Amino acid sequence: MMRILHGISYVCYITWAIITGSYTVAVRLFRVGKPYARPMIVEVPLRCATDLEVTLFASSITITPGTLVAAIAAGTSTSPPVLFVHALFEESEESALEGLYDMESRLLAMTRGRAPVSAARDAVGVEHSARAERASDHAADGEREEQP
Amino acid sequence: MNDVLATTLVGIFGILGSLIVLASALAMFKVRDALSRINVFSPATGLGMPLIVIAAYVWTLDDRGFDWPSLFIAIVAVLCLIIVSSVASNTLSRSSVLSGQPIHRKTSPNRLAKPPAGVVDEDPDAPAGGADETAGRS
Repeated sequence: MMRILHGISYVCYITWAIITGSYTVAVRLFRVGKPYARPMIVEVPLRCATDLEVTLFASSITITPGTLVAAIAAGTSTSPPVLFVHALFEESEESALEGLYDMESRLLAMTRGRAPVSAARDAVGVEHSARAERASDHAADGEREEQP
Repeated sequence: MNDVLATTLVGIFGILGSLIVLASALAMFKVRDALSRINVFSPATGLGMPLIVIAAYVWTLDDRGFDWPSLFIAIVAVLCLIIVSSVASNTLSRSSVLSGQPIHRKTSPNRLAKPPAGVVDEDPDAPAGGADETAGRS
């Protein structure tokens, strides 16, 4: 039951995002003296786990005017899947990531029945934790090699 | 349905949808690279075309009266436009990136080219026993 309610809420959210995004695309045509867009490609480490969640999230990002999925990196045992999102009308990388994680939380609330408890990690945090795990693996390998 | 109301609704939805498609087309001239052009085209397929389908459905409703097949066709058309447009944009953007299309020089940050601040980018394909490996083991 909660999934259905979250699903309806998510569809309304996406519809509203499409309307406001289309409005931004149209209104910016009439701005004089300012650049039309501020393009950026941001890295979004995902909390989505299944193929369905990743596909739904990528499609939701792309259908929203102003954001577009440019590349997808598959997840491994130590790092989550990563989307590279092309954003046109965001003020900064942080505001772009904030909007995307809000959408992801609503999507996960729909697919899992409740919003995820873990906070979204930024790209730097994911890289550092993956690096730390690799380093500890290397250390364990080294100890094993030293033992006769 | 009242003829005046139906004509007004068809006009509003049809003209608004057409203007959104026009705005998307003009926006494609304002941006400079392939990725941005794919990006600004989504209002046309995500909102403009569905509004034109809704206008056509209202016209059919006024002309022939309500029937379930017409409603079903209209709903399927709107859903297909949104879903197909999303998947097609994904495919276009990925093919654009993979084929090495140039990205606008003012794209900043570009995480496909540079790692986040504070991250040292190591080459996972570097030959074993290279400088990084030696430094890591010592």
